[in-house]
Amino acid sequence: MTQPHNGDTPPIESAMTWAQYIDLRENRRQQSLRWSAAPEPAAVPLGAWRLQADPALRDAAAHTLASASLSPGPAQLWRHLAAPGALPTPPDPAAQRPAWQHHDWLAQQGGALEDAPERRLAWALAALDHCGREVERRERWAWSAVQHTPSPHDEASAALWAGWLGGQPWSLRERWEALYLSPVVRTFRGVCEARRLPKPVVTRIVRDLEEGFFYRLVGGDGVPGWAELAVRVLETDAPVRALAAALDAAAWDRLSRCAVSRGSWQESCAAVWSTLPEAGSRARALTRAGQADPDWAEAWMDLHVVRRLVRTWETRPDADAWAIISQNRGRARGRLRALVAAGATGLADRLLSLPGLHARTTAAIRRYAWAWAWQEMALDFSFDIARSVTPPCHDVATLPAPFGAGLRPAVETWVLLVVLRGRLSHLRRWVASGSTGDRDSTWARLLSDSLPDTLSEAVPGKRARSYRRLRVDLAESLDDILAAQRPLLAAVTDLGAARGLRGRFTALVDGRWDGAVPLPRSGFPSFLKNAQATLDVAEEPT
Amino acid sequence: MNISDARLLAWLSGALEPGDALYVQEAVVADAGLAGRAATLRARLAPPTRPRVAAAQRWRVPPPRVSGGMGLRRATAAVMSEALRAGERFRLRIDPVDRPDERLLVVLYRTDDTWEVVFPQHPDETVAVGALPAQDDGSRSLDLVARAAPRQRWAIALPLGDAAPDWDAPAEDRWSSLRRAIAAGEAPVASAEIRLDA
Repeated sequence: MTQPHNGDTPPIESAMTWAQYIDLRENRRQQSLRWSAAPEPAAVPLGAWRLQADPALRDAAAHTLASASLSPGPAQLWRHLAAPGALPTPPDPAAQRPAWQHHDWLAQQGGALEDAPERRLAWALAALDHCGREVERRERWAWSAVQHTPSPHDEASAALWAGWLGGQPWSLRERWEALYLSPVVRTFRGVCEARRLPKPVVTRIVRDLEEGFFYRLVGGDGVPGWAELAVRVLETDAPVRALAAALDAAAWDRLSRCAVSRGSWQESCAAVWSTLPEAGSRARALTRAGQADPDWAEAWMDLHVVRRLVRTWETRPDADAWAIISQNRGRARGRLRALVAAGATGLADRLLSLPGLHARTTAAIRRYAWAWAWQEMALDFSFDIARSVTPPCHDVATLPAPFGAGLRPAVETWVLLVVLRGRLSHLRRWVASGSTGDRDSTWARLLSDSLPDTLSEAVPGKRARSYRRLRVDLAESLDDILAAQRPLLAAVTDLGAARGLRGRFTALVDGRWDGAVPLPRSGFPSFLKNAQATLDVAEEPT
Repeated sequence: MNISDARLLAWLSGALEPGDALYVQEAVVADAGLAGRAATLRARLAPPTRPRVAAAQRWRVPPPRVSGGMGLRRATAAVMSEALRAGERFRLRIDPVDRPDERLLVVLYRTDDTWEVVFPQHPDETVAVGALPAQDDGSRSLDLVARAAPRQRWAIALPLGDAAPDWDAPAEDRWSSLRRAIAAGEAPVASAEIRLDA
């Protein structure tokens, strides 16, 4: 019932019966209750996470847990801590299922367990163990389990990659397109189908794609498409370790300076190196640890994810844990990709030594094309090669400071208004590129009439204001803001379109709407539709 | 299980990361309704069959806003409205290129199936891009007449002499050198989309 793994981490459970799942859950429950009764950092049972192997990371995680102000509800407590005898049995207990399906079934049964102080910490620990096993299984084991079968095309693929890396791709165009255009077209068709685009539109898109694919990879002024793709091929070897190992000293330095001074990573770094007095020394410590062992990056990312989960559970114990994991790992991996892509010409040895290069390239190009197609969808398939799929990683020294706690409510309220006005895709494009790509009047009013002046900066000698600080802030915080607003958006969809909607809406947001953002006076019926649309697309790539 | 069509399509396209693919696969195995939806979507993903154009006959003209070694844009109308109707003239602005007096001006128009060369069509029509009126910034202006299609794709290629047309060859091979030069990134090429006003 288990997949073999290395001896330092717990085995990954695969499909299991209900009885086997209950055994797993009971072990978790017992050890969580034991530790919460005497929370000694060195003994914290976080073995499902890679951070356990590093005492500094483990202690930081234990401290985060022990100091958290948690208030899980009776349903959450029951899900993780109810004794086995109090649990129902599914109709098909012998069926082999992955643990998450047993867990989800249990969650749907709707039991309750009374709150008690000693149960709160145990609940978080048990929930973390469940998440950690799923992270190990989906974010690491699943990647290593993929068979990149050797192919007769491996040699040709290596020659093509040598052409890209050597700066001479044009002579290889025919062979490149013969091998890799087809999976890209199929992927674009998938995205078109997801949005039910009319057939003539799909035909036009596919023609443009066929003609523009190679140009996209050659690229314009920024990081070229082939470099973005090369990084995705490299990460088929291990999505974090392979990229961490490819970072040179300058890239580690840049990553470290960013991590110790920006967003929630800043807090995670401070938690690990709490004895180091200032950001520079923490950055140097981070660089040393990362350069010494590429595997450490996974453990470090684990700590950050654990901290984000616990911090979120403090205010939203029912938050979608996997959404938090995906957002935080996704953003961190995006930064890694951008840093490695910026130095992609130095990847030759690593890339060309990968076995099964054709299969890896095909897998990577499908994933790249999926993200690319969704980006193009937001821009009416304009195929602008100046816009890379991988968000750039800006040097922290050139970035404005993020907004402090005093202005955060205004930022969050304005984002909520943007969502309710149906302009989230405009916001995402604007954050990514500084332009929405159209002349939408609603968006223009959101910027000119609804955005508080405190969130933009006057430009000397000009009437127009600068929004750079807001864009940089939202590049880091938008996903978290949207995740936090999901319950509120769901509540908006439940308001119903009957008369008196404005009053019901005003009552709903009372106390949550920052006064610096004007409360809307019209358009309330469309808020319901736009809130639902945002909830619907939350799982699609952006 | 709550898995959107978009995510199922990503899975069917092989576009999910391994962990996400594993999750969706486990869900599809466990949920017959989800498996049915996946089967329906898989059928819709089947590509339409269409005749494959031989590589040598394919034009590799990049979509608008994708640079093939040169810049091309529709010039803003100088007066009044930018409204454009079939039969009316519109102006393209060609960004500066090196050796303009040696580069042949080739105008292409995209049909349903391929690109057709609109200009030149005879040896005595050939003209260098350097012969077009130059603006202060070095760009060149070219006036064209809009056709009837509501959305039209026009392209300009600027080959040097070695990619010039072979006027003695059969029509389908006349522009082979230019097609090869474009495919190899040796001949600047760019396209622009023109939309007619209703």
